[in-house]
Amino acid sequence: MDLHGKKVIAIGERDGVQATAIAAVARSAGAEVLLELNQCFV
Amino acid sequence: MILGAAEVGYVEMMAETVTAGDPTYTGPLAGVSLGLPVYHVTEPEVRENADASVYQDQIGVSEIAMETEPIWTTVRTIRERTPGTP
Amino acid sequence: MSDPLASLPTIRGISCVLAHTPGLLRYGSKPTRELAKDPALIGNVQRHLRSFEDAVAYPENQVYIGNHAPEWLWDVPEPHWRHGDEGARAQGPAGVIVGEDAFWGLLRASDEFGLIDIERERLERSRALLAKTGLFSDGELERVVRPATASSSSEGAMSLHAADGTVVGRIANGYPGDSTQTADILLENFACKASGALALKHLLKQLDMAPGDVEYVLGCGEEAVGDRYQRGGGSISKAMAEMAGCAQATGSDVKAFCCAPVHALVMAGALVQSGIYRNVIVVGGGSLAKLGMKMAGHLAKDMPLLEDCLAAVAILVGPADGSGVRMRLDAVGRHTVGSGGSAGAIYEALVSQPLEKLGLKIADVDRYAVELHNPEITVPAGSGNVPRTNYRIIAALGVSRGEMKREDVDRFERAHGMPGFVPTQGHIPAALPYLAHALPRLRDGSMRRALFIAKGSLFLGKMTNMADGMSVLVDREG
Repeated sequence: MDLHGKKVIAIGERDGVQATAIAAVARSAGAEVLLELNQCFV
Repeated sequence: MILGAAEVGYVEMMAETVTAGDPTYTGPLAGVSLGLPVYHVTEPEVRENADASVYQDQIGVSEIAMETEPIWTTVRTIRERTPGTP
Repeated sequence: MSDPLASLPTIRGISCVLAHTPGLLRYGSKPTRELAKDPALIGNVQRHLRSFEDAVAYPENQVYIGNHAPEWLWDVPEPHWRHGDEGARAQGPAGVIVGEDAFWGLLRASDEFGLIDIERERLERSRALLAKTGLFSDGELERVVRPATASSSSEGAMSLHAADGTVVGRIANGYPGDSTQTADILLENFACKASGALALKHLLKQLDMAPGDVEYVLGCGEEAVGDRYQRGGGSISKAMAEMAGCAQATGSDVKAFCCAPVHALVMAGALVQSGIYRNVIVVGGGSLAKLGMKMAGHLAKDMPLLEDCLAAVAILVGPADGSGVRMRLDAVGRHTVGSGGSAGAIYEALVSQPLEKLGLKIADVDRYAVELHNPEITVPAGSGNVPRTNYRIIAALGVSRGEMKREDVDRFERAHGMPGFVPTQGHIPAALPYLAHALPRLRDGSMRRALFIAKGSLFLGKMTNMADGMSVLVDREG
């Protein structure tokens, strides 16, 4: 699966991997990040 | 859709939410089926596409902390049920 | 040359209190929204409320007030809510659990504006129960039964209910037409004030400290006190200080989401170390908004609604007292704007950097207190086990730094952590309740070091996508 040129929504979790980290990874693979959302359920 | 949740239960809930609709029967996505392909950020499909040093900096420690096998199994199962997934 | 560590402040004591308020659960944020969609849900909610006795006997609540060590929970059969502690008491060395019968009186006493009106018989009963705690003066008990003034407007008034659904009174809106002072917001603030003042009173009694000796109170809760021109004006701390009879104190509130308690503790330490104040009390009141937060998951699993308690803490920071316990303000961990959002970067900032300053490794800390949310509340709702996740990250950081082996990741929770035991009251589980267990062990030498780590979800406020974090080491000299 090639991420290059794909659009990505990054949903992070504060205690897991945060959205900014996911977005950095996705961009490094050439993807376009449309949305970065962080979840905190407590 | 790329998820960063740390635990299987969480991953499952998030993956279900963004594919089939909110499984907790509440929330803005309740009953809405987005049908988007969902991956976990630690999966090989993501990792192998990313720049190695960016991945290591951003995800390295998280990957050691997470129990990746059950997470991958859960996300793959949900993904394979989603039509249109490459 | 004087020893720079000699001026480090100490933590003199902590009180952890619970107000069991099942009747208020319907006014938590999640229950309010769910009941608005489906009013018939109230029946199912009420069937799943716990009795006061069950809430007191609940193992996690016994740990919270100090009757058991957190580690005791590892061996309690699951589910814990089915295995109440047979020797349970509503008082513990570090705190107290009061029921809603008593709490109505605290709410009435916290209100100077006649907005909360409660039936006289209920208030008399509250007064009797509060008198038994030994925490309140006669004057303070009189305020419990003082009736609300007739000037309170009934516009938008919300009914107040006991656990069985009986109406016991009501709360009115604040300033007419002010959407930031509606009855629901005021109730949230009064619940915070009343529970925080209870923690403050308990702390003063526990330490045999005169209210008049308190100089400064630092709030660390997530409530917002104000009006339409200043929504987050604050200083609920000073209001709590007044309610607790601290006539020589002033205060202010530290606002940092659920990281605030550790920020506040560090600031309290700095104020004492600098000599500005002789003592500072950090207070966090309970969160009405978080009652019943995970109720969907609990109802789906036919579990009791475990988020039925307002939890509050009060911590006294003072100069060194000969106990040898020190707040290591020389090595505070802080997550900065530039730290980055990866778990590795966050914990580098909160764990590795401060420990490096002291020449320590991760394994040199006996216990890490992270966000101690009770997993029995969060796991059935699909929200995971927050302390466990954080312990795994600390261990993973150790692995990445070559200080630990991969096998240590699974074991770290038992070796250097603890099970979560605090109700999901936002800022309250943020590490500090463990002080109730750490302080005696630091004093008697059975523990050398404990690291208190909190994080804050700043991104929820939509002003930034960042999280926040702060840590402080508490150790024993020698």
